[in-house]
Amino acid sequence: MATGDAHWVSQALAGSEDGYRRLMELYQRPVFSVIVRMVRDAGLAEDLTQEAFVKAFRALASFDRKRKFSSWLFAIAHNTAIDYLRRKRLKTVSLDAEREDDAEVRRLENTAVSEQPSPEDVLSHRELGRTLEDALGTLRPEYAEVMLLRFQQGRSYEEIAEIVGLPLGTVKTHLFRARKQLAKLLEAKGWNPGQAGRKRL
Amino acid sequence: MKRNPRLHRAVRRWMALEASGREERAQRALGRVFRALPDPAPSRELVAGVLARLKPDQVPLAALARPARTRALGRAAAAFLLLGSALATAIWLPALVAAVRDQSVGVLIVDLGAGALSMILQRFAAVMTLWDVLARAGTLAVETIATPQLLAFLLMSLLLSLIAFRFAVHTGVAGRSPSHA
Repeated sequence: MATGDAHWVSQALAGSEDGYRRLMELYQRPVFSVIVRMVRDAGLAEDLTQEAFVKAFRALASFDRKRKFSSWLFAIAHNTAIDYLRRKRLKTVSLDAEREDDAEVRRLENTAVSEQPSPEDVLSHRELGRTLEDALGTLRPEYAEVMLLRFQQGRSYEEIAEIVGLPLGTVKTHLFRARKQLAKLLEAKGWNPGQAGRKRL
Repeated sequence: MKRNPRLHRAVRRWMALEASGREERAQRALGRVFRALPDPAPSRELVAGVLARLKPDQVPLAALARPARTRALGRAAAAFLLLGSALATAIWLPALVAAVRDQSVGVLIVDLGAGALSMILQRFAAVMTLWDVLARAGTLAVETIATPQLLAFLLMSLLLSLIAFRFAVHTGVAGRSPSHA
């Protein structure tokens, strides 16, 4: 556990409100950042982030200090978000099969083709950041989550496996598929890899 | 939302690498894409909201703090008792000893106490002597047995005894008449 985390965890366990406050200040943004991209709703993400922190703090006495606090917290946040998604079964999300992901990619590709928008047309009207966020939101939440943990939060494969409770091999497979699907989705939205190096936005 | 040149560059590079099939570099490039994405932040009320949700049931702010407080109180009480006992002994013991010494009952009590203490110490010494003898014998036995040759010999003997015992039992049972079997 990071020295700073250990100190604030001890403080929190001793009943200091400051300990809880500091832990939240350190991790509210990374946790929110992952959850919001899984559920695609800022208000809901904030509620789930809050719930994750409340769960974590209520279970703080059982936290094994040999573990990394941030991994433990992310695991709780992961369970909170996944539980919610399973309960609500968001329309934009499929938790069931790979086939549905591929179908979604194909549907987007077909839409892009049928509407015949040029890349310039598409991207001149849409901010790239929004496009990427949309594409990310189209992925299975498990895929989006491992991508965010890996590429945004800079977590190791082992940490991600611990957080999401999956074998290391599955995490790597998820990451690979997620990357390929994201590339396909962007391509469907006007980013042709063949022209990517030359494209001017 | 403003155009983000860093993000555009990162995406262009990543897509080009994906298209070229350079997996390792594509992965690193995607990392740069994600780092260039705007980082959403929760509202400022989040921290207050969590603290407010924790406070009504006083978990864990008070509950977790309680053992620490209890321990501190316990330590303070023990220290207070120790100090009080030491002071009381210092103040009252000389007077008590003087009072007992001047009375025949007191002398008897002191004699009995001393006698009992002496007896206990003698028994303890006897037990310790026996313990010492046993410990020495045990050590000697272990040192003697703990040679590979002797251990092997003992194990072989044990094994042979077991085989012989089983053989004897088997022979005895087989030798009986059907009516006894």
